[in-house]
Amino acid sequence: MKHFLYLVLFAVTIGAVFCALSEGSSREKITHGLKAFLQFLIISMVLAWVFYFIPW
Amino acid sequence: MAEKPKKLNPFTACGLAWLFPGAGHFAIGKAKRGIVISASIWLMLIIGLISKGAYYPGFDYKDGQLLYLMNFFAKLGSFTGGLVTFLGSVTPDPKAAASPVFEYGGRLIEIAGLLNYLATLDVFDILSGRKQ
Repeated sequence: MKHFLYLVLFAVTIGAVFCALSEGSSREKITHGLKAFLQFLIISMVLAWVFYFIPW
Repeated sequence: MAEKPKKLNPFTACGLAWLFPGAGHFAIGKAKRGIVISASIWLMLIIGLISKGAYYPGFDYKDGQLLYLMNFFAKLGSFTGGLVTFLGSVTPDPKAAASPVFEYGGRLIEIAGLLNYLATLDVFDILSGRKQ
């Protein structure tokens, strides 16, 4: 659970900074930040499951 | 309504952004952006320090040059962040690497530094008119 919390913290902070640094209207910025957050979260979970089946 | 950037020497503003995360954005009048950047970077740094990430990678240069150099470069991303990390690692903790979140802490500190490089470049882009 601790590992997952660290992953969420990582994704939230990176999403927030990407949101602040992106261009466009407020709505576009928030969408960009949310996308970054979800991409970090989902891709990490998928990779974790893929690595689970690799025997090394 | 978008905040208009104040006129400031780009190198001074970038220097401020490097010295303290978010300070460059405050100096050019982008306070909201500065608050988000500063809060995110400091949150990462503090959680990284609590997780004993200041001791990461936990070995000498000769034992892993690439990882060591990458860590060094990332910590240089912000002056105050790097200083706090350095001060946090002065007294060696032999049990630090045994912590289950030791590597995560190290990575959080690295990413905080790398994000500050992005924030510094953002200040430069705003002042040079390439970005709003």
